[in-house]
Amino acid sequence: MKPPAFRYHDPRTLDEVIALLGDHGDDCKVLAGGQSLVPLLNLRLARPAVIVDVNRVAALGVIAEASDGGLRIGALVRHRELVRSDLVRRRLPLLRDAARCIGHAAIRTRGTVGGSIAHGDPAAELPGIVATLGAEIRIRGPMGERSAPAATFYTGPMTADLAADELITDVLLPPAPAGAGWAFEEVARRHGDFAVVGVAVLLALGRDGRIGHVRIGVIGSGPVPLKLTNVEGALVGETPGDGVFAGAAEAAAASVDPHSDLHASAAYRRHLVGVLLGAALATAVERARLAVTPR
Amino acid sequence: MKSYIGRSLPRVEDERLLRGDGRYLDDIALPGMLHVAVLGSPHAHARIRAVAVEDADAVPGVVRVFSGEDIRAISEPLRGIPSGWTNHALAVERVRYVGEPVAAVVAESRYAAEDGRDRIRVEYEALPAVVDPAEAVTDHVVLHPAKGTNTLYHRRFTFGDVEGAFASAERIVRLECRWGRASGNPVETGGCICRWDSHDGLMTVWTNMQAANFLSPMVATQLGLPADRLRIRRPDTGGSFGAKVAVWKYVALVGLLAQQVPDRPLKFVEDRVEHLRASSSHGPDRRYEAEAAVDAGGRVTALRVKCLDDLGAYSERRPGMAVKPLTGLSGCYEIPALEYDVRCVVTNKCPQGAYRGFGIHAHNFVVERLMDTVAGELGLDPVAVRLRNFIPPERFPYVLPTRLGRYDSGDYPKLLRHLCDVADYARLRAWQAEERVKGRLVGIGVATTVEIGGYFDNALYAALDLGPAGPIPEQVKVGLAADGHVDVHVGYGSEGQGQDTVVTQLVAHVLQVDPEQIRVHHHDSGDVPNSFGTGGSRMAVALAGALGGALAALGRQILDHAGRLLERSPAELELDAQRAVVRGRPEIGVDLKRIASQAGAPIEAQYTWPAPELRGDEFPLSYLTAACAAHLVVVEVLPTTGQVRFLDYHIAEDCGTVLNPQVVDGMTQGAVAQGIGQALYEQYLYDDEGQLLTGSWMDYLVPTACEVPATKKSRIVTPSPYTAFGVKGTGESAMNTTPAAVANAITDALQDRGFAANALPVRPDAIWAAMRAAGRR
Repeated sequence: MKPPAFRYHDPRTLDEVIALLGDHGDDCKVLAGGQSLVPLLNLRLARPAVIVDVNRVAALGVIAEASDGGLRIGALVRHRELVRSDLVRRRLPLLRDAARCIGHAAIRTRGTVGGSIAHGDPAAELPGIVATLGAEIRIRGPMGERSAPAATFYTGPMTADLAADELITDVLLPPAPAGAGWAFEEVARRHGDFAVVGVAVLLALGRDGRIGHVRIGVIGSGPVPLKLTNVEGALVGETPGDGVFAGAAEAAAASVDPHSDLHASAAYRRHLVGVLLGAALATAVERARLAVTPR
Repeated sequence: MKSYIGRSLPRVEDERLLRGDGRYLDDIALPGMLHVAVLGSPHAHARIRAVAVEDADAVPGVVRVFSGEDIRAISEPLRGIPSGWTNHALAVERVRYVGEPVAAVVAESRYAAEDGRDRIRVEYEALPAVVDPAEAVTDHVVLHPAKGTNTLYHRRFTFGDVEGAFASAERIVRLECRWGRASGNPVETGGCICRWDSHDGLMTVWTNMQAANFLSPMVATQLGLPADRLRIRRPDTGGSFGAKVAVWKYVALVGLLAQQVPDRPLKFVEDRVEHLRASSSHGPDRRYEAEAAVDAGGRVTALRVKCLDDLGAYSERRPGMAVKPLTGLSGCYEIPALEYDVRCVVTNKCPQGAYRGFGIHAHNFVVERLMDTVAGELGLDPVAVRLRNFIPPERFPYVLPTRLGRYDSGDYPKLLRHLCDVADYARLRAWQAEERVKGRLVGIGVATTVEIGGYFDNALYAALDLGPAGPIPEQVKVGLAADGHVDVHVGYGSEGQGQDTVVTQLVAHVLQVDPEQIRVHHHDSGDVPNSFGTGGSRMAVALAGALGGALAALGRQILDHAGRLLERSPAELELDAQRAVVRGRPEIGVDLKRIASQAGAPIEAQYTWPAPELRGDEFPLSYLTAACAAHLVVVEVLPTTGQVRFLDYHIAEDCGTVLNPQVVDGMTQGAVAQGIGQALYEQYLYDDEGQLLTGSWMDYLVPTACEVPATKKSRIVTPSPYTAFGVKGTGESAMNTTPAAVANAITDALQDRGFAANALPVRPDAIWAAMRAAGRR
């Protein structure tokens, strides 16, 4: 389990990274936290000629408030920093709760936001949050900067709208409405495993108690992380309650087309989408009603 | 007199290992060392047409490349029992499982070796794979054409009047079970470094192979060497659970390569992928049909068990795990008539190897599920059924109807009643009824087991023509050093069970010295002392026996010397607090350091525990002791997801005199974890083409601390009449008990939901699907 030989670069600036990616393109892989790439290298399933290690590019490691009140999270931010960040806790506890479900402590300590989003495992938490919230993925390449909308970023299992000579620099997460409630629910075979199914919910209630704003995402039930726009649409304007949650759960289960694998049948996954969404909606509504500040 | 027996002395091994000062196989780097990479077969079943190594030879750093034909030219096929069911250390003519070694590269680094491996070209002609053991039985496709059949072993053992008991039974209770293929999966994988010294004609091997002394003559034969030309050195070992017995096949391979690349050490350490798919350490993989003849009172009068065991591609040792249940066929129960029909077939999967529990664990699962099924069908409480069927305490020593097992001592009703008291079973059942009314799917599972131990299966194998009989001695050497320390020389390798601690306690106890004054020394094979090492729950019994003999002799010598110094008769003296003193007058004495320095000759003693040959009327008996364990598990099944949650877990054990409770509890807790893996998580799954689907730890699910509950442990003590200090072999009882207890609890939780946990591991989606189907009916 040793990788074939590769050339290794560890640039200090973003410009140098982009130049290297421009020079090597398809023969090149970016090393950030290494939680997916290193096993692929060691199993010789990936054989890049060049590795560009971006860990020393300090500019990529920042969590900041965006101009619209949302969050700007640098590609090199570690999962553990999401869990521990005061800013994330106050502004987007959904992200913190999702990050808590990623792997184990060692994985969260090394793994990065940019790496997880670029790798794009359809059962991974951060791609799920990106899809749920409609985040904007900011990318640098030889032609300069561009933004990719979450809705079209993932094109298939572990494939994204990201060229070999491009690098994700950060991700912009839109601000949550005031008093929003949230929930992240996941079933995995063991603690820390990739989700069999996971569901993210962010919602806000209007003054009349009706659902005014809702975002629903699902991981582990399709080739890409899903945003359940149809279910969201049906919920807006509804007064939350068991009947509404059950209806949403049923609609969600009907709208996904999951796969069977070693860990769960497709039917079970479909069932879980409904179960988890029902639970997540209930929790999120309760939090929105209490307008809880997370501890 | 200070008693050191029965105390939870902190493990003397721990400080060094926890500080990171351990030295494991892969830590060893020898001057001039070369590295080996092994090319595994991508096919489950194929003919090898040609192996082209020229491109690999040309890779920088590659020293030499070997194919199966190179190995065939210099050695015999791997030795197995029965013979003729193995391949060579590198496959010739045919491959029979995915990952089977086909070629090997020796290079200056593991990197270069793997680069070379990538350039080997093998031409295969794919053959149909036999994956389903039921299909293997039909012999439509035969894996070993010279044998003409896939059935490697088939025998029906009948003891007592089974036919009569079933004919007159009030009721016959039937059960079908499946036991999934799982394995020990130690954190440290297996491997070796072999150096052939051409000048001395000596093979030196550094390896974490389990039972190294025991296996070393076989390895020597495989290498064409006299036994004394093979020297095995054992670094620290990061777990085994049986899995590292099979490391012998790597020692054979790398040893053969080393003879071809003389005077350079060659290192091979499995990576995890290799371990999972090709370590020859997969455990039992069985389908069972079982039936019990039951009388009106719920007494089981006869037991029939039919077992189909999927051995994988080869028998690289022997089908030992399939026959070991004969030594404990009826578990804790007095069942006068027994039948065991065991058929072992070969399939295109990784060969089986030893796994903790050694086959009895799967059998006991069936027996314990069957007892619960009897209880269910008769409307009886599972505890009551067990109490009715236990071997009564007055029947010990109890010779099984098989005459292949004898339980030394025990009080099974007392142990189970103790467990029920500790867990407050009656109150638990009342609580369960209340919760079930509220809709919670809570279940209580009970399971018991005997854990035979203290010796080894050689007598059984000899009786079944599966290997030679022969003693399994345990040897120790003890000495009083000039500095007053006690030196203990031992022959076992340690996979982490804490033997050094137990040795320290026994020495401290007998000689009345502080544990800090005791040094335990490990030795290479070939030096005295000899030891089989761990296996078959034997170490407590074997070490107590060996040390008991050696320390008695050493103590006599010390008192003789002390008598001369004190001008007293040795009979007047005793050992106390690092001194030899006059009985009743401890102020008159001489310390051990002075005794040692003035003795004028070494004070030392060596003793070989002979491992008494036990004989029954028809067959030799294999084991000295029978410990017993009873588990009570409370689970909740989540109705929405089918997930299983542990609410409580109680264990009661009786392993005779306990040398170190913490060591026993640690081994038990580890076995609980493995039992939960067997029950809920771990399984090697193959697709229809024989490709391994669970080829990494992302898919082969070993439970972590998050999945394993803390358990509440307590014990009763029934000393063994046959061993020093009354100890019994123990450590793996939970392998036999946990899967059954968990399965019984899940089945109890789902009693009206159409699910019985008879096929392990149980996946949550299977539970959910069964609940859904039951809901629709």
